[in-house]
Amino acid sequence: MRVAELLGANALIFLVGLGLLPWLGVARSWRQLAARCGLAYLCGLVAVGILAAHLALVHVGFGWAALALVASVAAVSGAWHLRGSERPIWTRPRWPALAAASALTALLVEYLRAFAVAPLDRYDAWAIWALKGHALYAIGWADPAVFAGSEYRFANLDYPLLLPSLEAVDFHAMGAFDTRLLHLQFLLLLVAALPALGTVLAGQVRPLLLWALIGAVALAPAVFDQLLTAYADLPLALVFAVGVAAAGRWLLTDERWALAVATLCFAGALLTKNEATLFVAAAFLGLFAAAYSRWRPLAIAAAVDVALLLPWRLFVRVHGLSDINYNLADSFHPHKLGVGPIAFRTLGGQMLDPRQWGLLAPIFVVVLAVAVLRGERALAVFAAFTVLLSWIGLSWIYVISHFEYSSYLGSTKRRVVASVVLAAAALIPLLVGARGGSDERELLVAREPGNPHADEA
Amino acid sequence: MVVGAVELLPRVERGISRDSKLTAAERRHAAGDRLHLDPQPFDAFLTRLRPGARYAVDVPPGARGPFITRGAVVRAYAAFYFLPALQVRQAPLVFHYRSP
Repeated sequence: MRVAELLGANALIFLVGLGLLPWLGVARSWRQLAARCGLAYLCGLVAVGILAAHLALVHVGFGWAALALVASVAAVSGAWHLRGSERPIWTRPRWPALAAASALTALLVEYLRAFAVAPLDRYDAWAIWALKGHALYAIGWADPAVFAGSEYRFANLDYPLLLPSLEAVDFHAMGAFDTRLLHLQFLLLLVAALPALGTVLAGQVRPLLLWALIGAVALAPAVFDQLLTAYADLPLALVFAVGVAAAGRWLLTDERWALAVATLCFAGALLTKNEATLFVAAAFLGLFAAAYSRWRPLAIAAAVDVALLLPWRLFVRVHGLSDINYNLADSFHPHKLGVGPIAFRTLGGQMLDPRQWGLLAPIFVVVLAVAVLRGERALAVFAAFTVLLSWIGLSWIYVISHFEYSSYLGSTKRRVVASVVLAAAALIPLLVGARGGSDERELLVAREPGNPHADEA
Repeated sequence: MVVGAVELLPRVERGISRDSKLTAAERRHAAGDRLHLDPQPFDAFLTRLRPGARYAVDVPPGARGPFITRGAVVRAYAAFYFLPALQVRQAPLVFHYRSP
């Protein structure tokens, strides 16, 4: 029964995302909605997570009633947005795509068996994420007695609340704090992210390449292992990777919906873990460097993300919460500079470890080099900035950490690189199939009046 | 993909066969068992709590691990296990824990 309730809540979340797609500009007709509905679930999870996390700050719980209301409003308003537009046309799917989808489904069903029986026993999973999810469910809001309580400082109280809010939505739906079924939500995040990645990249890359990427991500041992721990690192990585893929598509095509999806995913990432500030900043720096002539939409996207993060940062400031692991202010008087290169090398080794990530990172390096040699400047600059700055920034955290670096690095090195590896992986198909080096020129031509593709851009 | 499949799928099967045998009690205490905490005091104290009740924790600091002390680990686990009762620094209701 609880499984049905959990799945029911997720069906409503999918509906929220489906209704959101027309508003994001992803779907301007019923036909486009059908073609791009792969984005709906992830967009719904991010949107519901952001909404529930913000409402928790102002003493508003987010249970069945709120979820049903938001789903209804999203669905009706989305349908209103698409009224009178083109209807979908049924086309028979090609057998290679059917075979690939069947294999992926079989793999996810196998994962489901593992997620359905996993115990909640990893420290951060219960001490940070599930504890907060349980508190949001049981108390109904981000009560400072817990969320700013001195006895709860161990729970990284400065970490944002998107993931605990999603967990609380599930607990509300199930009517219980179920530490076993909680794991299914983490698998469902993967179920949401894979078609989202496919939808963002579809039309820009060869289907074979797209399925290869989706398969490689789904089969990466670290993806399964880390999702099963019920930590936030892999959910963050999945959401960030879809955002990076959407941003990469925007660089190539200038489609506004792609930037809108990237903005939403980056906001979701920012509200999942503090490290996301580093990753999202790196991505925006990469975007500005790669497409400086299109700075206006980028500035708006960045402002939206800052605005969506602001309520949480205000809560953190008002309650005087700080990171128990490191202090960015220590960057001005680092006394462990020697740790930087060690951390950089160690994290690089983790990213290249085939027993964790397969060959995703080496392939990224090769296709990035080829893209540079081919003169595909914009995408290569974005990819290099995003990955390299994130990697350097992560390494810097160990320089300024309060903890003895080898213990801290040893216990976190496997999972912190997840966002960097998956973001890099998400860009591989675009780098392989990227258009020629004159991205900016092509876009200017595409925008000229009379160009049949101008409206799409 | 091949690297992932060869490395991962046997591990998935092993995890399923191990975790599917857990009893409800083992599942409830999985986090504490991993930390070698005695479940009995936690279960006994839990029966004295109602949602929203304030309690304090009395535990010696104990040995220091790489990040926090043994006592801090017990406090953290108590905070998790006793929710929705609320842990505070001082309260008439006190959870006493001594390592076995």
